[in-house]
Amino acid sequence: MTMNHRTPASALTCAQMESLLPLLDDGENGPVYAAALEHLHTCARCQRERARYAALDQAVRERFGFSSVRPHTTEVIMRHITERSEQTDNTGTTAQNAPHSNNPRRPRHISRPWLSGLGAVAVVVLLLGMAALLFGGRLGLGVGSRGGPPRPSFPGTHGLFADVSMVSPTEGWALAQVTKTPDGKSTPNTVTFYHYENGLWTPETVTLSAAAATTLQTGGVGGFNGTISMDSATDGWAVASNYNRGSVLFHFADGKWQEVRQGPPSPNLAGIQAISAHSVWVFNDPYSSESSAIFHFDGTSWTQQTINANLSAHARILSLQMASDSRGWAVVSASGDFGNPDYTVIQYAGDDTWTVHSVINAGNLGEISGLAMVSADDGWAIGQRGIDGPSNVTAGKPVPQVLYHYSNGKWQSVPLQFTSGGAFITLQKIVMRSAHDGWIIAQEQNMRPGVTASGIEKHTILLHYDGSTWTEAQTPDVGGDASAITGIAFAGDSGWACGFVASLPGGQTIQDSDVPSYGSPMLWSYQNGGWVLYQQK
Amino acid sequence: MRKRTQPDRIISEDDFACLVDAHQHRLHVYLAGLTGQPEQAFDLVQETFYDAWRAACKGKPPFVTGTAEADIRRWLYRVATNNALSLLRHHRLIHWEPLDDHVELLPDARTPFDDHLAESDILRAALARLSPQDAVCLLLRVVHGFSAREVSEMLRTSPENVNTRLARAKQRLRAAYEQRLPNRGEAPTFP
Repeated sequence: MTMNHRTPASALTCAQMESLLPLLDDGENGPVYAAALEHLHTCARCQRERARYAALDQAVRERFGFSSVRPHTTEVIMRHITERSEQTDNTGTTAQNAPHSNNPRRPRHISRPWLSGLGAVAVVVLLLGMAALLFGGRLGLGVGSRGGPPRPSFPGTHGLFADVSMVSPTEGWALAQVTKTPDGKSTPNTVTFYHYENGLWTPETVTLSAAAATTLQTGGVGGFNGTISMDSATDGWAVASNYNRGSVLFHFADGKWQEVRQGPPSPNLAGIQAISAHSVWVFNDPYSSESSAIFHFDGTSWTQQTINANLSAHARILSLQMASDSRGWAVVSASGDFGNPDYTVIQYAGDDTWTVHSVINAGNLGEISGLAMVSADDGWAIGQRGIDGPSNVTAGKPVPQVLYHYSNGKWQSVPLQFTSGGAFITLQKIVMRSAHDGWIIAQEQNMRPGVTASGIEKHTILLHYDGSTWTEAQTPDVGGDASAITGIAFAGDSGWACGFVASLPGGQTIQDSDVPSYGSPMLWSYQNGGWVLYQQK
Repeated sequence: MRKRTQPDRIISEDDFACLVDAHQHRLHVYLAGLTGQPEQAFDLVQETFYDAWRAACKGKPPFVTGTAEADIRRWLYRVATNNALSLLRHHRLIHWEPLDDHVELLPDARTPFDDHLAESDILRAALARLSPQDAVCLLLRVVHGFSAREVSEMLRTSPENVNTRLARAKQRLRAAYEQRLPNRGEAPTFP
């Protein structure tokens, strides 16, 4: 580009103008902007550059300043609000203060049009048809999509498991959200802990306080998740949350589960791990707005840990794993920036202090989500790598998985091969039982015309590491349009995996928010080196 | 919004419905732009108004009688932004564009409408490559007219940081936008 690129007599140079030019049309003022405008008067290059940014602003306003999709009616939104509020009212939190209605609204209809105009509909039909032609060979039911009626572990029970923890091969606990029991009763404002003993899993329901019920409803109906960790048959901890909209802490002691009102000073906890009754570890949900923090409970009080690492205010702790009271690791996105490929592994150094163990460079668009260390010299990390390009290039393309192994003092990428299922596989969790025995929970999500990110049609693939290679393990046929394993735990030679299996009536595309109502809690048992579906007799 | 007449500080359900009427469309436009998922944006709009309703139930500002409209608007966008950022972080592991956005599948005979779709798609893809916070700064400042100070209060950062993010967002967006258009054999729309 040929430019009249001279430095004018004003105080600013063209180089200094680079960072100001994008902002000149955004109504900012002050001395520096006055100087920038002065520079503009005498610099043709900067004038052209400014014009380009002005054109970009206009294009952005045109693209993102309107919607061709008609909005909801106000009635629909108000009905949603009042229905959810009524649920909350049942817990007694807001009934006394609800805004009074001068003229109670009765929704006339529910309208959620996807597109307006016949032309748009025709384009969609055309696109779907062409997509079906293009992808037809690999769409529809892949290996991971079992199809057929769901085979739940607890027939008649609706809900899902979040996590499982084993005390011994014969005893353990699992954290669940149950929305309907086999006798047809709804169970709002509760969480359910399933207890495994004498070969049976038995539900124990805990009624939530009003505040906890509100917290676990805040994120909507589809986001229940949590972790559970038993340090003995008589002591354990659990954290339940709904997306990242606040958490509720539970403690098992004196033979029962109870809410903990005086927990760590954070409303957004994740990833709890109990080593003993005097050593419990938990960290802030990486997807909440809370600053990254690790807390330790010594049996009496919670102490926030000091992390001696170069962490920004937006740093996110993604995974924490304690091997003992004095040995543990966590992986942190130190910058909190999605584009930064450096992930810091920190280790517990004693005295409530953590220091840097190593740094994983996940490469361009790489993201680390889970960590499992066997020792300070041996560990694994999982994640994914984004695809660069415009949406017409990236849409419909599988996101590659990334797997890193730490040995000989450095992190190295390890390729993964999947022999079954489709290509759309993400790595969810990793657990290493030893240097020669590890498991990865992977999720295979099928793709078909019309199914987008909000629709799910997925099934779990389990990968096993035998000390030399990662291979797919045989998993049970659970039926259903969607199923997932969310937690896995072992004790001795046995183990359990928990999650859900779900379908919608009439073959409709299931979504995350349907799972609590249409899903059923699902358990797999690991016996004699293989996984089998557990079905309650 | 019509004048509120309740003698107490808690606004009425009708007034709240007027508030929904007044803001829901623009909020949806904002959230659809940020997430790239119009259906997801509907859910986020509902979530935002549910949060507002809960605040109103407790008589919390700005949902009390006599509050300036701008304060309510800022509150709604702040909560909507937080909801969207939370969702994006949770769902970023699987980010698919809807198939019905595939302009490449359109027939070759381009009409002006097709050109608009193609250009929109480039911008959409370029925006999706920004960090969510940068995209928030861009949309709130350029499209929805909030000042740097207002955005900084929403994101709990400084106005300088907002401007830094905004400048970075525009530079990246422009680079991606200008780079892609010529590759498609079309004249860029920039001067």
